[in-house]
Amino acid sequence: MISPNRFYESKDYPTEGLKQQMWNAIEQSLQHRSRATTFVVDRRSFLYGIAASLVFVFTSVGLYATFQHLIDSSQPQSIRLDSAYETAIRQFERFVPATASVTPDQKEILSTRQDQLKHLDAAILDLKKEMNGNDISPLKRARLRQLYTMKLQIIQEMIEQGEIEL
Amino acid sequence: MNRKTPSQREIALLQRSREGDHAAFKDLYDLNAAPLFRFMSQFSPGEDQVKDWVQRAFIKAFENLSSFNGISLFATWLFKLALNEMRSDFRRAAILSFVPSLGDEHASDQDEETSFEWDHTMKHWLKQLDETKRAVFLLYEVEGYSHAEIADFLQIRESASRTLLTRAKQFLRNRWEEERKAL
Repeated sequence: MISPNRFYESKDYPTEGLKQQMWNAIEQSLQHRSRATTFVVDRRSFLYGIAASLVFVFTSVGLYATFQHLIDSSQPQSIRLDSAYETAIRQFERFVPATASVTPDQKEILSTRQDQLKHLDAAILDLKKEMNGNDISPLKRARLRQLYTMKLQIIQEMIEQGEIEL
Repeated sequence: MNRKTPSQREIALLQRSREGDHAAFKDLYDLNAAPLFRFMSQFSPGEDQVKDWVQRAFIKAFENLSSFNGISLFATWLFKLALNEMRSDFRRAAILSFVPSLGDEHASDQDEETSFEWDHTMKHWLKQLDETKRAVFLLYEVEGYSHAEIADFLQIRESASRTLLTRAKQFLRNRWEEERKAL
């Protein structure tokens, strides 16, 4: 075997400057490649993030709807009845917004009815606050239903008397 | 001729490089750049060409560090990568074919030259050998690789490596004797 030190001459070796120059080129290439890899990874992560968000939103909506349905169906009959009253009144009020033109005699009656409605609304609100949504005390429930019925009756009478028009 | 096994330092540097540590890879570069450059400079008179092969070998090495088994020396692997780069360049340029002739492949091991003695004036004629013979001669006689390793580097049979070495030595000795007679 020939000794490498004997075989190679000084001109066969790279100078320090050339070595550094080669390393700079190598490092530049490696950095460029790792940046490209990072970009690919970033873009992939971004798409995965979007997909995950969509899945999360749809799952959340589905879960909310399912739980809402479960909560509603698990509520006592009395609470569900109250909800039905509230919904009915809300729908009724939505379709009878306008007050009809009334004679001066009727004005006083109308004013009284509106006062009654305001008092009823306040009473319903107070009672609901007191019951805090989930109180199933039979007396309070009965009282609430009574107030709903009264409100419906007043609205019905107002329609029948032509004090409000559909 | 058995090559050394990797040192603890080399193993540690390789591990850090695999984790993307450029500073560790720079240390590996500092250890191996000059030996690789001096070897590759025997295949091209142009510094730019040698520089290109060395750079490409290191970049390939970094990209494929995960596939490097670490049993052999990092330097051995680098030599192989650089030779592959050179070979593909030559192939592309159709300068030469690195596939040895059928005669070379089937040559007998008994062809091996044993009485060869190196004289530095032979270096001049070494450049007249085709790249395959030159590579085999340098890898075996100067760098100390075994025929099995050379066969792996150049993707030839081990017997072909022996034959090519013998032919290279014969060529060099004949030229040297011719010159001596002329003097």
